Amino acid sequence: MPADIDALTVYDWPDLVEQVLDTSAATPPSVGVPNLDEGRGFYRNFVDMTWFWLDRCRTTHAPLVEKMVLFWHGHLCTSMAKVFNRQWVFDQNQLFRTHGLGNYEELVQRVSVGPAMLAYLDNDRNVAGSPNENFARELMELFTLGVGHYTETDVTESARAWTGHILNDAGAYTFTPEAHDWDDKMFFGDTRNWDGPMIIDHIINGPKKNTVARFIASKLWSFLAYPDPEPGVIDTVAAAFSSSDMDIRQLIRAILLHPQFRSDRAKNGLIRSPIEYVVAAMRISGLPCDVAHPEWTLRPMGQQPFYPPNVSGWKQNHYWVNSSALWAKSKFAGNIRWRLYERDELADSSSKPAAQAVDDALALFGIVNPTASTRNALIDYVENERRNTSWAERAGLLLLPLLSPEFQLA
Amino acid sequence: MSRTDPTTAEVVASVSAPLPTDRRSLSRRHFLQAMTAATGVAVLPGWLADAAEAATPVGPGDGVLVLITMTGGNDGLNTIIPVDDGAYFDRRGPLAIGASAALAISETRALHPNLGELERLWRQGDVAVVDGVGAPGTDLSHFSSMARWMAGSAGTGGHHSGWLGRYIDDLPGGDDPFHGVSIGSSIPLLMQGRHRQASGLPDEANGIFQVAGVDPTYRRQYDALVALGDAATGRGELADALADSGRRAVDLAATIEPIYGEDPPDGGLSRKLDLCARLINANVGIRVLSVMYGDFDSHADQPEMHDARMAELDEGIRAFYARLHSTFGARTLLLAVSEFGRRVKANRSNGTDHGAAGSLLAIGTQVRGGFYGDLPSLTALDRQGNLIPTVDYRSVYATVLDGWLRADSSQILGGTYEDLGFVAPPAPSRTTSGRNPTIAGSTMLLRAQIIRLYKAFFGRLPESQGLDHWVQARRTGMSLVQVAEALAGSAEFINRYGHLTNRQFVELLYANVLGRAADAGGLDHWTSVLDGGATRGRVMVGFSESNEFVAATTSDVDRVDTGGPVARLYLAYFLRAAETEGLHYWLTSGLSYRAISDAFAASSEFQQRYGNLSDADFVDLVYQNVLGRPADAGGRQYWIDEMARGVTRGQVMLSFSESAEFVTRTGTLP
Repeated sequence: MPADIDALTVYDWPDLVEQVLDTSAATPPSVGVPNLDEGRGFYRNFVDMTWFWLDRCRTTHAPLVEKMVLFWHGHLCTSMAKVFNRQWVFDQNQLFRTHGLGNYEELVQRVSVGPAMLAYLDNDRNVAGSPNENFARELMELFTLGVGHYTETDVTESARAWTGHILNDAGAYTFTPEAHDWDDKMFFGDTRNWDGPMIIDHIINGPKKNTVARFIASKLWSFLAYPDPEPGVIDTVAAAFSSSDMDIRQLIRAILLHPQFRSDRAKNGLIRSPIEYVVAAMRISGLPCDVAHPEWTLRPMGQQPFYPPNVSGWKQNHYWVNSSALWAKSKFAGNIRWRLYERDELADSSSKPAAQAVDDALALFGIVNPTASTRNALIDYVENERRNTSWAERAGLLLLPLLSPEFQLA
Repeated sequence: MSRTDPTTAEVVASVSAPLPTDRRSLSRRHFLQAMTAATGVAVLPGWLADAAEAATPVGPGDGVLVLITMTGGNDGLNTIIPVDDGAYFDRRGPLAIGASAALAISETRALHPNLGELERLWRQGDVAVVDGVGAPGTDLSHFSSMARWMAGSAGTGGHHSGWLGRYIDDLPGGDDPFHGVSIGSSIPLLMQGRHRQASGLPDEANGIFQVAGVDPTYRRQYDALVALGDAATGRGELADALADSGRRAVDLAATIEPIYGEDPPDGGLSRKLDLCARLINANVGIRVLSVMYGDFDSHADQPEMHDARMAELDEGIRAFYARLHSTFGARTLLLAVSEFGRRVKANRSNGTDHGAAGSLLAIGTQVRGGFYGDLPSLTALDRQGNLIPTVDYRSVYATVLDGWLRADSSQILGGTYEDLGFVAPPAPSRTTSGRNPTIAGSTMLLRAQIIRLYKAFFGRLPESQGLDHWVQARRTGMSLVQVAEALAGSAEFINRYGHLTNRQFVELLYANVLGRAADAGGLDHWTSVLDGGATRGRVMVGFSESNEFVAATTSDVDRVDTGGPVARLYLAYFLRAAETEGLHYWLTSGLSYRAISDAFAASSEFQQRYGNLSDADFVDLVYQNVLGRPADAGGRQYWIDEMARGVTRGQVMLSFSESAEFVTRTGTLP
């Protein structure tokens, strides 16, 4: 909202950053927790989980928390396409909420023994004598180090270390000693009686700590600023992450305070992912999920919550730009438009000069610095509507900004 | 540990994700129709008119593949039944289907009773059954099996692309959104390549931008969306790509929307396959289409579920071929597959559990009908009680990739697999002088629709001028319903019928269109439809395009087509009736009558018949052929002078052939 933005301009950047990082005003995770009774049906549960999350995104006074939930959801992936227990997946979502800004090792430890991850990457079938390497591999390839920083032996030995960390018949995590491989294993060249959680500690805090720091820093920079960051940038922010002993909040501080974060490249370098797009639209319009129904169109937009397409999550930028996504975005935006129309937003638009009407519409959607091309296209639109003595000027002005490049950029 | 079985939809979702499709500008060459204001006759926006060209068709020898994936594991044993195998009846118990109920296709096999259309195609030799298709060591989870089937790769590593996606990767012509189409909102792994993927199209028109024939207020909003990308944003590449995406989405919708057409069939699979056929007919270069359909996962209460699926499959196949233009018959292959079969033995819930090997179907005129592979033994099963596959599923892919799609299967699949030989190469279609057959076909259809409307509204056939006007309006984006609405509000209609109530209007429709009094039920129904807000045009189209009326007006349509200016030109120039192929050629050419007449005057038939004529001789010929008498001196001199000052011979002849005298003499329609 324009008023909100004006209020913030009195602060200088470092102060603003501190305000963003101060998440003490975040809604407690227990508020509005959905009823995920399986008897209500899979789709109902999915919708309730989605609404819980997106309504939080819309209303929270500490958006950084929910932003990081989204980040971790696409990094420490689990999909409901394979893990059908909604409670497990929801619990994981809550973990991202409660631990997403703290110590990275602690986050990975907790997520790794959550039932959702155990099921998704098959560690619940990883038993002595018949090891399953899926989790052990992705732990290093996707969650901490990236390709090329470990050997196949590391994967196999780590898998053995993770044996026995499975689920019991009630679906709860249980370390089962008789299913664990108690022999010595060699990991990162070091032989001892490695166990799963020790592996995580060693990866993140051990000799490859800086590699992990760079890997996570790079990914988080890509998520917050722009993809493919310059090595120099990563040097700085990764160092801050490392020296804070892998504190995520410190990493974010380093990212937000880095001069490159305020560069033109950063301003124009990121397209909103569909979840970010619908949240922005709901936030600016004030419309809740049970009116805006983001769950109807997020899938054709390309990002259905709780369904990352594979274990490496979603891609960025051009990944989101295609016709079927725009058709879906328009349907979503069209619905928002009619709700705003009923609310008489921009009521006096037709009595103003066209340029003024357009500026008011853009401001309504928080587009404070429109491009000349968008502004001119909208002015032409208004003038054309007036030539046609059309009733639809207000309806168009309540829709088109939502489909502008400005609104779709992060 | 407890785990709820996924629904098949969730499994499909697990291997689907939308990826960028039209990263670069949609080539203008894909436009078939321009957008228009709702008033009808089009003024093409400048940026559109400059670039509108015919679409690039599929080459004459190129095959098109429609892949139907039956999701959840179709029960092949109850689809193509081994009716003479005692083990089948023993193991299946009440689930077994006996020979008397099934449709025999050989001495030992019969089709499920609901597959009547498939049986008809079998008897024509158009169906191949491939038995025992599977892969060794198959994991029975939906998630892994589906991914594996879709990936179709030789290795066992992660599945990040599908066999048809990799086929699309290698197609020439750049990143074309029409190389592959998946019907549905997200793209299955099947159709995702390493750097390209198919376009996702919804199965209903309301899933895309409705750009043609909309209210002008919405039309202007689409124009504004397009205009957002008119100038550079000045904010970098991503902003420009976003600004441009509006235009691309509108363009794609404009091309695709007319293809959806009116009156799609009911039912999920029939609607999807009808759309596939329309897309193929539109000839925009689509090589592969994917349709997912289910749910076949019949763990419990199989008979009801499977019977319904079989009926839907049969009806879908029928709907597909009913819609497919005949020119594409020999260039289209249908493949109906499922990711694994089901167990032989019935379970305790009157269903069957996931199996390992299944049968699949290949359908088309180029298919070499018969049985391929080997039906696995129903008694010598594997340790889990499953059929042991006899055919590697990748051989099926290889057969299609190499023989039908003319690709390199070993490169796409990462291994060499057997050619099963169940399909011959595509046969080139017959086109009329290289003309895009579908635009030709659609013009004749557009004419027929207008002719029917005239017959239904006015009880008469249209004069060529009126017909041409409305055909032109249709070609440039006006919907048939809008034409009908215009006619229903026309002076002629009002003069003829006065201002009718809804009820009177419906009575009139029955009388004019179906030639009978309305039955009470029908009268009430349609009256309430109109009272409920439907326009008269829409209801009229429902009547005029009904099968009954289409059949009843076939000779009327023919009369109009074989009447009119073109027919008269044949008579005037060559003293003969037009042959059908030639007539259609000229009618669909989009040329003006004057241009057609010029073409006739310059044609080799004219040359052969009359030799080289002076202007004076030409005038004499015109008088003789058209008026049946020598030219009078004054008239003769007049026309010679006209030609001297630049009037073409075609124009001269056309003036005569369109005279009232000639119309009457030839008994053709004006």
